[in-house]
Amino acid sequence: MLVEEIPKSTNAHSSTIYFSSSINLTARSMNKSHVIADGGQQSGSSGTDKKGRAKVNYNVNQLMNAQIGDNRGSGTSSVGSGSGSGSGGPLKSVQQIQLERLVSKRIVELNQESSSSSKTFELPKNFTYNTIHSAGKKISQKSRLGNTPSTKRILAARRNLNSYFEEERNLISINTILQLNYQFVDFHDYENKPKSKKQKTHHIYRPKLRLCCICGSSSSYSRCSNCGLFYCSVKCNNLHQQSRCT
Amino acid sequence: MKQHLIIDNGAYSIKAGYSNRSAPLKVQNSITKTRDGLLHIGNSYLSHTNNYVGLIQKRPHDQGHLTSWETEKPVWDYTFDQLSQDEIDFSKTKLTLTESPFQLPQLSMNTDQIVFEEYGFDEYYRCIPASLVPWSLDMDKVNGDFTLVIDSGFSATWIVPVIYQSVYWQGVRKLPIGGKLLNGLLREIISFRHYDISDDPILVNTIKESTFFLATDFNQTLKNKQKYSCDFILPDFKTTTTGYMRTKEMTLPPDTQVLKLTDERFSIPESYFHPEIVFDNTPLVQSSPFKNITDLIVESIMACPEITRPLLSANIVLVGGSTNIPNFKTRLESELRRELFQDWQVRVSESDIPEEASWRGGVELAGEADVWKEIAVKKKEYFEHGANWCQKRFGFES
Repeated sequence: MLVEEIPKSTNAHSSTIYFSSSINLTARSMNKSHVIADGGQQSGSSGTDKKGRAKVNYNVNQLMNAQIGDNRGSGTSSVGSGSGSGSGGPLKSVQQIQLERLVSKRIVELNQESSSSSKTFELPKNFTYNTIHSAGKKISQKSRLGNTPSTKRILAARRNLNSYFEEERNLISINTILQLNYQFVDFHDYENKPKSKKQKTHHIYRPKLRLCCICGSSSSYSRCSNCGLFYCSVKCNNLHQQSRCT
Repeated sequence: MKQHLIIDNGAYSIKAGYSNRSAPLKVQNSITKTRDGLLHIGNSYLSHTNNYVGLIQKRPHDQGHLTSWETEKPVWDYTFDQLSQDEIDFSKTKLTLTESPFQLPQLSMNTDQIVFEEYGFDEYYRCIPASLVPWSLDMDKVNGDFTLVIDSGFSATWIVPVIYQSVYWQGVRKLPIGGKLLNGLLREIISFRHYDISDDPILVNTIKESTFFLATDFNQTLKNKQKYSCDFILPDFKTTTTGYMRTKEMTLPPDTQVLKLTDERFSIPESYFHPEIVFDNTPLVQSSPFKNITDLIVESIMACPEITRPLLSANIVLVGGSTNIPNFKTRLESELRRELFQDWQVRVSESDIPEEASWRGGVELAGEADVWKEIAVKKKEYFEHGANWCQKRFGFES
C-alpha cells in the first residue's frame, strides 16, 4: 500500500493533511526542504510513519504559498520557492497560467517599438563610442572592451532578459520579480470561488469599458460571436466582419 | 574637492548632471540606426538626420531591466562627453545611480561591476528613482517623511511608498503600463484607422506627447468626442520633420497632410484607469477583473503600517515622464477620493518637471554629507567585499 490515511490527531495540522504517500518521493525532491522545515514544527515522528516510510506533505495551501513566494503582508520568507520553473508554478490554476500568458503576450507585443520585420539590429563587434578626449592618447582595442575579466564578460554578453531569468530561476526572489507584471490582474476568483453570496459582494468591480473596435465609441451591443470584439452599430459591425474579424 | 554625479538611468532617457548644476542633461538612452545604416548614439541622431522615418532604436533596457551593457556603455560614454569639456576623472567622482525596482539581482551586480571596475568611480550609491523623490520635495506642501511616489515612466508605472526616506518594499506595486505601451496602442489604432505608421516610432511618440490628455469624465467625453478632436500635422520634411498639433488660428498650406484624432486622444491614456482597453477581448481576459492604477494605489497604502496610511494618502507625488499627460493629477485625485476613507485627506501633487524629479532629489541627497557617508559604498570597500555585498547594501528586500 503506497497511500495511507493519516490517523486523526497525530499532529496539529491534521485538518489539512489527509493522506500520506511514498509515491514520487524522489521526484518531488525539490519540495523536500519545505517538507522538512514543516516537519520540524509538527510532531517529531511526522518525518516517517510507523513502518519507516517517509511521509509526503500534501498540504496544498502550504505548497502553493511556497510556490508563489507569497511576499505580501505576511512577510514570511518563501522557503521552497526555488522549485518554481519561471512564470508558472505547477500549482497555479490552469486559467491563471493561461491568463498570464495572454497578458504577457499582449504586453510584449505592444512594447515592440517598430514592426516585426525590422525589429532590432545587432551592434557591430567592438562597437564603442569614440570619446573626443581620446585624440591624443592611443587606446588599445583590448582595454576598450573591459578592463577586468568580469567587465569584459558583461560587455560582451549580448544576452536577452529571458536568458538571465533562466539562469536565475533558483533564486529565492525570482517569483517575486516574475509576478510583478501580474499584480494588476485579479486572480482571486479562480483560486477560491466564493462560497456564499455574502463573500461575493466583497469584490465589486467597476463596469468594464466596452469600446467599439472600429470607431472607438462606447458599445451597447454584445460582442462579436466570432472574435469577442465589441461593435457599436450595424455599420461598424459590417465593417468589422469584413476587416477585423478573424 | 570631489564632484558628485547623479545619473537617473531611465529606460527612455538618461538624466545626468553634477550636483552643482541646476538642471540635468537629458540623453536618449538608445542607439539609433537610420535608414542608411549609420549608427548614432544617444541624442546624436537628432543633429545628423532629419528623416525620422524608418529609424530603429536599440535600448539597453528590456522590460525595465538593464540587460544590455554593450548598448549602455557607448551611451554612457557619450553622456560623459556631453557633460563636461574636460575628461572626467572618475576616481575623484561620487556617483548616485538609479535602477528600476526589483531588478534582477544579477543585472544589478553587473551594473556595480561596471561602475567600479570599468569606470572606477570612487563612491557609489545605487537606488530606485522613487526613493530619491522625497528629498526634492517642498516640505511646506508635502510631507517628505511619508510619501507615496507614483513613478510612471516609459516601461511601467511603479507605486512606491517611501517612509522616512526608505522604501517600504511590501507596499511596492507595479502596473505594466507606461509610455512605451501607450505608443504601441496608438500605433495599432492609427495604423488601423488612418495610415500605417508602424515603422515610425518617433512620430508615434510625438503624437502621443502632443495630443494625449486624460478625460475628467470618460463616458461624457466619449459621447462628445467630436468636441475634443484635433488635427495633427504630419511631417512633410520641408517645413516640419516631427509634425505638430494644429492650433485654431493656424492657416495651412493646401497640400498639408493632416491626421484627425478624436477618441484616440483620451481613450488610450484611459488604459491607466481601465486596463482592459489594452488587452485582447478573448473570453478569458474579458471575464477576469483587472486592477487599475487607483486599485493598486489603495492596495499599496493598505499594505503599509496602519498608522502611516492616512499620511501616505495625503502625500502622493506624481513623477516620471508619462505623468506629463494633461489632467493626470486631477483625474487621479478624484478617483482616489472615491476609493479611500472619507476622513482621510487625499492630496496628489505633481512636480514642475516630473521626469527630472528623481534627479533633483539626488542633488539634494548629495548635499547631505552625513547621510551620504552612511549609505555610499567606497571603491576600496567594493574591492574588499565584492559585488554580492554591494547588492546586499543596495538591493530590494523581498
